[in-house]
Amino acid sequence: MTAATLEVHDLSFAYREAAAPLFSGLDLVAEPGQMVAVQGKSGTGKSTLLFLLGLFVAPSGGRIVICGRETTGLGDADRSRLRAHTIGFVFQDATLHPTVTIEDNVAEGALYAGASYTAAVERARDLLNRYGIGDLAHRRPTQVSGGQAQRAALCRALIRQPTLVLADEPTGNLDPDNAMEVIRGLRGAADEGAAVVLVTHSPAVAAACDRAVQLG
Amino acid sequence: MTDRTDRGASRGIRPSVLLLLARRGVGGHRVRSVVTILVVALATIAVIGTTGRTEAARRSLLAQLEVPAARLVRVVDRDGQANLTPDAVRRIASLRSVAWVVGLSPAGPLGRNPALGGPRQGYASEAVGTRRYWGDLAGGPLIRAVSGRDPAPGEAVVGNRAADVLGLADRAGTIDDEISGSVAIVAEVIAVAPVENLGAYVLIRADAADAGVAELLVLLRTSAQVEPFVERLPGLLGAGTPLGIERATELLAIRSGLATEVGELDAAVLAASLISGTLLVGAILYGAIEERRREFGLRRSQGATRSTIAALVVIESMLLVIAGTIVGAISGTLLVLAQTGAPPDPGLTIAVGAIVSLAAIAGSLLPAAAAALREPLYVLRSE
Repeated sequence: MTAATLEVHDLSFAYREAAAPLFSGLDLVAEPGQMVAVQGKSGTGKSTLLFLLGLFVAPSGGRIVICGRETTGLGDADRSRLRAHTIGFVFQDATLHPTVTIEDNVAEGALYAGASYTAAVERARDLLNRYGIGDLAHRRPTQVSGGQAQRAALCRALIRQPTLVLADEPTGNLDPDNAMEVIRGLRGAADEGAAVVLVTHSPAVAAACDRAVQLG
Repeated sequence: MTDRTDRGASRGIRPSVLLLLARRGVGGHRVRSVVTILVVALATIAVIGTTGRTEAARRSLLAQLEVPAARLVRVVDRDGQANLTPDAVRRIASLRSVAWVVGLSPAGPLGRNPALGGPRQGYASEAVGTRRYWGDLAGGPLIRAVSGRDPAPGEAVVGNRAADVLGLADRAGTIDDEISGSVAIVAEVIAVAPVENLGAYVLIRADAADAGVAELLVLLRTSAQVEPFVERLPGLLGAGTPLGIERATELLAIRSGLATEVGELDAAVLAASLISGTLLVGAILYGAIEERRREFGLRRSQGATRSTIAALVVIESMLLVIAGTIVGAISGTLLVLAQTGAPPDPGLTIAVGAIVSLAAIAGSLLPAAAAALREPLYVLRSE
């Protein structure tokens, strides 16, 4: 039996101590190679859940275990180290640095884990070629389409070969063709052993996942 | 899974990479960078321009106060118990701070000499005496030989006033001295203020072994050296020596007061420039941090620690501040050069540059902390 990459037990979260919880009693398991869709209406806490799983905020209750490591009580350095080595993020808009090239944007994803710039750029080129945008490596984000930028953002998330990929509406701003390109990319990461948790409103994207979790 | 780029897995971002990202941050936000550089440069120019000019004025005023009267120390053996010796004259002459020193005996009456032409009209009532001296009498700026040759021990020079009183037509002759007997005058000297009274004497060069030094005239190289020299005097002459020490205390007090007042003015200008520069740099950087919330949030999502984000902001600031300080120091130096004809003291320029840099970097600490403490939840989420 494969050990779960992500285990969430009885998770609850409220923005303020006295406020009603956004969600509570949430259990979730994502194993290596699995794609899990998180669905729900607006305001049910889908993105918040993703940021909880990314260890940016502490839950009000419950536990999050990543790669067998209990994350409750971890300090900033440990949480950052987990993000640098284990977790890859993809956001709704590509969020690329506009002043540097696509290649440097992708390479930066590896730098906080201690990679050298040269090694990171080499790996970035490989990934860009693999995702069909190698010819855009030296362009700026403003010189590529939204779909191409999102694929570059996906490359940036995958450059450290993370064991957990968290994607927040990664296809929300894309046309169906580009959306499928991104989903294929995420599936490729899962095929290589990553667990993928993605927030989506799209039934088509949810259908492309192995299972779905409903919030709200 | 094995991360092929993860050779430094046990550590965080490499310092060289941090510097690279900081350089990109500077180059990628050109308007903010140029404005910050300009603010730092203007603060540096303001400080160097004002302190440089006041420093030049201070130096000019102090130079004007560096008259011999302010640098002269007169040491008198008032009760004949002080240990003033020819050897003390030699020891004092060997000090680096001493420009000139001469030892003098008490004044004695001039003996009659029928060979002299007698007092010239108008000088008949003026007293003329003899004094023996130790040291290089005409080797300083206060007593200048105008004719004749250097006297050997036992020979004399005549002061310009004494030569007139005595009516020495060719500024040479012989006088009778109570101690030395017949003494040949071999040169004439002119004594200027503040030792112009020596012009009224026939000054006999004493033998190095002779006793009888009753007074020392010591000219220091700068007036600032007067007080330290006075403090050292008892040690130089022998502890406990009772001395009468005279120097131009009023002149020295004016010099000291001037230096203090100008220093306070400089300090006020420096403080005002530093405070305004620090606040401006802090405000610009804080504004920039607000604009870059998504950028920092993204970096946090990629594994940057809070300290990495803070370090990035501070290093970016340091690069901008150093550039601004260099621009400001060069411009300020040229400004002072144009206004006063002389560049500001290099030490002042370096000190101002360092202080402005530190103040501006201090201004970046709050924005750096703000950037580090902000979690990306609210700037990166899709909902």
